[in-house]
Amino acid sequence: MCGLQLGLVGVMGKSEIVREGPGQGQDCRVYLDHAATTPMLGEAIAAMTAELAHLGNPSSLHNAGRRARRVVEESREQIAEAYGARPSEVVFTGGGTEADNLAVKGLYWARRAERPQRRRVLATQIEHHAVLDSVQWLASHEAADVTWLPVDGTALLRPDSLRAAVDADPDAVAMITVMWANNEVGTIQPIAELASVARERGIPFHTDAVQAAGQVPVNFAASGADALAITGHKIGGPVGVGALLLGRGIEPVPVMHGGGQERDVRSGTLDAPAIAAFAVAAQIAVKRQEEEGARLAGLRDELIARVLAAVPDAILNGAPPGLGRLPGNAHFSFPGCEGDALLMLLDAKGIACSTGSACTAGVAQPSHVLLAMGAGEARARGSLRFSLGSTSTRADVEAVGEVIAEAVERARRANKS
Amino acid sequence: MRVLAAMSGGVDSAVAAARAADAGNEVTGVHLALSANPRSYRSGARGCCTLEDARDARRAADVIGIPFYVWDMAERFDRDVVADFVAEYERGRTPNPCLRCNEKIKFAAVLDRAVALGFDAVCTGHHARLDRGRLRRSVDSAKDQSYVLAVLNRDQLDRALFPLGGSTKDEVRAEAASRGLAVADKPDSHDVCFIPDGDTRAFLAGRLGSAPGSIVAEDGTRLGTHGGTYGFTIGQRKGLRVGAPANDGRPRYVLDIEPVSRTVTVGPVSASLSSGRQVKA
Repeated sequence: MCGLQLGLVGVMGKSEIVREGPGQGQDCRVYLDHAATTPMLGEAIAAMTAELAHLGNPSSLHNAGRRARRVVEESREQIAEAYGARPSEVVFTGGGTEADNLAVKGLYWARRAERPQRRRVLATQIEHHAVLDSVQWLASHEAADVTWLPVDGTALLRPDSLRAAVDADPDAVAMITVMWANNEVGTIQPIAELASVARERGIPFHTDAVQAAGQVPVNFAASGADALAITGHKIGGPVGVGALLLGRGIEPVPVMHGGGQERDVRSGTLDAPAIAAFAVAAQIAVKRQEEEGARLAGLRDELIARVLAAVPDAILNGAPPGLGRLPGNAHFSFPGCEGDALLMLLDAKGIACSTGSACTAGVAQPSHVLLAMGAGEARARGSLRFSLGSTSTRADVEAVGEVIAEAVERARRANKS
Repeated sequence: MRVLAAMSGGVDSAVAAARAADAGNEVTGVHLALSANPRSYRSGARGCCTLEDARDARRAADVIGIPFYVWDMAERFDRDVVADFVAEYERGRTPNPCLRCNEKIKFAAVLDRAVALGFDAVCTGHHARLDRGRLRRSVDSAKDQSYVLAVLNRDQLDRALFPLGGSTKDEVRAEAASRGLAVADKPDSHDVCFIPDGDTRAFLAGRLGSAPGSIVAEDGTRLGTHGGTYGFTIGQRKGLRVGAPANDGRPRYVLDIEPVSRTVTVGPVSASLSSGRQVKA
């Protein structure tokens, strides 16, 4: 869709990648939807391409298999180091959604198998659908008793809210899941405090860190979480690979049965090329995180200023810009507009952003995150998310500033018809 | 011109959009999500606007090379078209919902939204022609759909585009095939788009419930009972379920529907023939 041009110079070994930034792509000149997916880093493409040329199933015992296995294990070590985990705690999956499904379902089933009374699942109202729908499925098919933890007007969950919810019947809790940072409005949760509430009561705590992992420091050991989901394509790696970091002693019931890979937790042939690319991307993301975070926050704050100047009654949703919010995230509600009309108008001008809500039957629904924040349906429908990333520049921010006023005016007119 | 092409996922609207693009317009394709139950898969030739249709429309837009979006008009459609359909039957009349859809949705709600968003016209795959601003029949008299567009006013027609009116259905299908559009072979949707199984009576029964009444002969003789006048239309022969045949052995036809007393009058074909019929738009 977004035609970022990538010129590959040298396939094997040399990672000399010439990447043209936005402004030269044909289909979207301004890409502000990094929260949906990120451009793959040249170094990650090189690593993946190099490995694609090799033959070998990492589970095979012969030379070819062992070579592939080595690539996987080195990648595992690199990812473990990047996120403060032990290599044995890294379980490769087919992406973030799969990691979340494994954590939510697998931990629920394991805990309930130990003690049948453990049927409670605690999850926030603002989880990504990979967690939300998994939890809902457990409720409708596996007799789970779900407590949807409410958040405040900035999408923040307070530890005492969690404590109160748990303590209503702590022995019946199978697991707790709270996302590290919200993908729509960017609010970052106090994960360490929340995890310690779970830890005190011996309850496994899972966190979906898919959105947080590329943008803010994520350290598995320090967090106190028992399970943590990450994915490749949000950090400049490929789509189709992710990982569940799983604390030792936590054995979820597998979702994927088969050849027994990943200690029987997740069967399936390991995708060595994708894993190699994932590891390279993770290392770079973590190395650049501090500097890049500051750069993005600056650009993002300028975007906010320009949007509010052009549309004074626009509302910034989520935590105030600062340590409590993802540096690249800006999410607005534009009163009197439908988000999908705005999206269409901006798309026509070459600006890619998102309404941030899931698509049901191809049609956008009002964001459950905004609704959980108490926004009301009209505001939830009239929202737009801009998310900056590695290729974002000042020009992108300026482009939005130039068109947003007219787009909002047109969308308001369209809403009245 | 900036043109919004309504794409149902059928072959007509796909070819229409392609022609509009070829004519040098800046075309954007839109699939209208009108169905309350989009997850049902389309089977056979009935019904419309399921997820599969949205997908077909999207793929056609890909091939043509135009942007594509889905607009949710389900709520308005239910209010302006479906509710009107049910209400008309309740009043003992036989409505044509396609007229209402064109009048209230395609060339009203959609057109208004399109104009507000900067478009100049709405393009559809209707078999009809615009001749210097006047609505004309399609060259294909069997497929002509000008009658469902007859409700449009001057302003609406001025912002309408019907690229297919000068072609027959066969020509349209052949063109779709040569353009590489997978929908070239897709069967047409007949009947009412929001009644996918074609069972209008059951649909209305679901909405209006059981409203029994009498079936009578012209002289008032009671011949039987029915479950609701909505199951009948003037001139109908089949499904009368009177039980006993007529005295002259000839088929009976519905002559009159009186919704208040819930009486359906039936009689021989000679009594049903008339030189004219009032059609209310």
